[in-house]
Amino acid sequence: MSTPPAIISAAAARGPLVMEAISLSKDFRLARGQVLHAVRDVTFGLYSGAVVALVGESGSGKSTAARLLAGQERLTSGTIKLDGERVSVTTQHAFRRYKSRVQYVFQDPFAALNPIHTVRHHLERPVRLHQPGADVKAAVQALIEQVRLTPASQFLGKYPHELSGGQRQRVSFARALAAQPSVLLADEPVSMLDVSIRLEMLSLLDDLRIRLRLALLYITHDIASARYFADEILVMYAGQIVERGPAEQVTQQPRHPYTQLLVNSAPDPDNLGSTLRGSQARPHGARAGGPEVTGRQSPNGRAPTGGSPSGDGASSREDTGCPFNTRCAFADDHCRRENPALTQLSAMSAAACWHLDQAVPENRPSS
Amino acid sequence: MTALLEARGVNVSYVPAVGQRIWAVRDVDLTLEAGEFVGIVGESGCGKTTLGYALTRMLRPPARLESGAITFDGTDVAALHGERLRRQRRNGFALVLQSGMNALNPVRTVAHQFADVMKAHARPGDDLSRAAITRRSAELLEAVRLDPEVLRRFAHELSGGMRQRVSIALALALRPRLVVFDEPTTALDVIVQQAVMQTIKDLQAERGFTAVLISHDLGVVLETTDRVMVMYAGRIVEDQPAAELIRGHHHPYTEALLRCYADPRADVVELAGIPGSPPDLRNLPAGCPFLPRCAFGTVACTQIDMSLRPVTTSADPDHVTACPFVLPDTPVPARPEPTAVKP
Amino acid sequence: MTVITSLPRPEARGPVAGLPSGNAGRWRGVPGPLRFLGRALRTLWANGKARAGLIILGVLVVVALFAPWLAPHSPTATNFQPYLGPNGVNWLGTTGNGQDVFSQLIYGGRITLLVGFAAGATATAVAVTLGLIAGYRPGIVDEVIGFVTNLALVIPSLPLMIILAAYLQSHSIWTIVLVVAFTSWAMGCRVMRSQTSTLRTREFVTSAVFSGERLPRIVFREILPNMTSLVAASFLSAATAAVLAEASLEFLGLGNPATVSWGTILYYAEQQNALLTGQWLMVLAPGLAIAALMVSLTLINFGIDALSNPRLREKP
Repeated sequence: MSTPPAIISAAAARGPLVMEAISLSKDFRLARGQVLHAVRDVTFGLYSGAVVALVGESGSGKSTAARLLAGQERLTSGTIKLDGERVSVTTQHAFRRYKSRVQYVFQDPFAALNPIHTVRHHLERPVRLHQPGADVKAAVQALIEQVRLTPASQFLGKYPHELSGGQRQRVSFARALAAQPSVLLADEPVSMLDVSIRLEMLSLLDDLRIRLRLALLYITHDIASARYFADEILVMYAGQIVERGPAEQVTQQPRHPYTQLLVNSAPDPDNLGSTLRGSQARPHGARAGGPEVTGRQSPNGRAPTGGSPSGDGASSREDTGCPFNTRCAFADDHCRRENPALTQLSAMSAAACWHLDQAVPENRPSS
Repeated sequence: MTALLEARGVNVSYVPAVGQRIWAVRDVDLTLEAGEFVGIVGESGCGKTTLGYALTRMLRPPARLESGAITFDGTDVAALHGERLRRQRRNGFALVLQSGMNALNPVRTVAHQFADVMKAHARPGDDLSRAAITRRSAELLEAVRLDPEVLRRFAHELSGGMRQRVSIALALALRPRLVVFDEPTTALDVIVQQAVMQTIKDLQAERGFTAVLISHDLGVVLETTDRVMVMYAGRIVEDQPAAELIRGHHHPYTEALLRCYADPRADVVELAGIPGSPPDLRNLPAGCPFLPRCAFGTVACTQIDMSLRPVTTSADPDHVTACPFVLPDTPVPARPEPTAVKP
Repeated sequence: MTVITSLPRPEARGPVAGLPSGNAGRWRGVPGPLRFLGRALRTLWANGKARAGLIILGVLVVVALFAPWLAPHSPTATNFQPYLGPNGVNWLGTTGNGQDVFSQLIYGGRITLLVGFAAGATATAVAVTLGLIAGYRPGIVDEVIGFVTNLALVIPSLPLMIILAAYLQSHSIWTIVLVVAFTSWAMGCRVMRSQTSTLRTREFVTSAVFSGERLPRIVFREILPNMTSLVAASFLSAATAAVLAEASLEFLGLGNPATVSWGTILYYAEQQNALLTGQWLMVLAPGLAIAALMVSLTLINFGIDALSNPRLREKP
């Protein structure tokens, strides 16, 4: 496999390196002897006070990568380092210590809270576990205020079904913060919320990042919010990082065709409704339909119980060429034969494509 | 064009076993012409899903249709029950559910689900041989751009987008005249969402059924619909042609929804939201329920009734709105910063 | 029985009755479990079938409790003329030993209710424990428990009960309770196991794991409370079966003939050829009583179904 290029992360400017993922790979065994390469050779770092975004569609492996970092899945190969030291969580004790540094926020606000426990219980437990000896009541109060659920007394006694989606997600954040972590892995924290309240959630996360100097990993399929929120964007497809760089650069001058597809799929607020309306034009860079539509290329086996979706990006065959070649307008034989490695484009950015210098209207590469 | 569906004075309430009654939908009048594609937009809890269910007679206890006349092609649907309602479903309306992808039976193949639907609503003279059913199922799958090979698959072997397409195909199996899509793309990511919406749009254009799209995402609705109805706190606050809405003048809530989109390509990305959250339906204030979050709100707003009035300055005569105050040249006040959440 | 596999979304369905609401207000002083019970009873009462069941059960329990005051005579006193039909003194007649059947009926409820509920509770406790363990830990533990459960399910319970009761020398009530419980835990265990493995994959369980909670706490404080209505329904089913089992064992003479229960009345009725002597009430009365108890428990079970699945609630 390729050696990762020596790219400086745009997030490094914010603070010291806290967590490092080095050549992470995760394979799932499917029925009928097939192997699903959910995550392939992924390398990046999380820095204190900075946000790194992992962007991709379902099946791209972004959630699996987060679960690997959270300790929920075991690595097939690769290393995770926390504060420069290798992480290995084999014992319950080591796991508990790890979790007090690295916390995870789930996507679905409805499923992440136990319906029979009050908000107070959800917060008291982690406080007791991770802050032994602390004044529990005061700590819980502080947590509730940190996530802006005020007045606290009104919310502490409530059950999850009495809260709205946004309020539940805030409780999930508070619960994660109870462990006083250095790293927060947020798996699509706003995807299931209404568009109108996403901003509040993201600004809350931003606020927490600044105040608590958190190293945040923000996983999303919405590149617009990644642009707004993140310092560095890593675009994943089929388990691999296909482009990375400072957030602004990746969205304004996307080099990889898949990134271009993502950027163009975001609705244009000045011209809402124009993408599909009145034309048969496809989003730039995508072939008509794509494999998702025909069903021919979906993997044959069942989705593994590890939770990795049987999406269309992840390949269940041995890789022959660039995984995006079936959907790429520029694909040629070279693309079908050989999988491109990440090519460094500048000090802080890289992309994995054989046709990086292809001139693309409105996205001319600037060197 | 004769109206396909007319609803007058629809009121739906939830009556829990303990606790007070909640009015989820209030005083909704709506008319759907044959072949129209209408969108119903609003935040979670505004009643749009309840309205969709009420129109297709899918309400279950504790929800109840308290009052209202719903006429489908001349037949009063609100009064139908049992076998007559079932027959109405056969050639009348179909509903694609919010988690439609989870509505597939996990222990049966896709082919079996199609056969089930077709056999359950067979008309006399229908060919129910295996070959005929397989042929019709394959045609439906091709219409939603899926490989007929999917017929042999189980639900868990398909991705989310594919399962949603299968749900859509199932809904179309009986050639319905009206299809209600309840948040069909909410759980899908943005690229798949576009593909599925394109499919829905093309299907509607090809087959000419009347379609209702329920969503909290105004962007998605504007991509595909001809007309948009905006709901808030159980009421319709605006009813406007989609093309007008992009250009024209709106209810302040619609305006606020429109501002929630950010262009990743812009030089400076600004995300906007609507501060606060939708009201508790048990404790609605007098007057306009949107007042606490409205940029234009004044004291006079507590006095208005929420009836829909035509917008005289609009290009379209059917544009109606519930806000009597926001006129075309009212300057937009400075955007309030999102503050701490009010419970 | 409805097994919950997904919780209803509150936004779509309005508040779900039976679920608690925070800030309990005037009930604040009452401890949690009692409040829960009060809430459960209130919701059950709202359901027509459950209400009927509660009333019948209530009557039977009250009669059994107040037996010394309600029964006209002692159940074991043999000072009546034997083989009498219903008359002014003995409303249901007398047994071959000269005992008053009506008094026996009233006192008999005590044993039947006690054995039924005790055996049902024991069987449910075993089922819940084993089911939780098997459901939470897939792998060898699950396999072993599953095998044992299957074994217990395959063996017919009544013959096994008969063999066990005959084999064990003591014929006390507690032996009966244990024998009945031993043969009826398997069905509940299977249900608990599958519900536990569904709940295990929920995100709130994963986040409890991420918080660093230990296994016993996760199983008993996070998962089990979500299965309350299932446990209650399972208990009622087990109790229903236990009532019938106890009556069967007594009827076959494998119980303690000296005790008075509805089953022993039937035992003596059979021994003394009650139908031949025209004392059909001696057969009908305890039989109806057993049936009434079982029906009441089943009706309450319907109510519990409605509690957990709002769609089964009756229209207001």
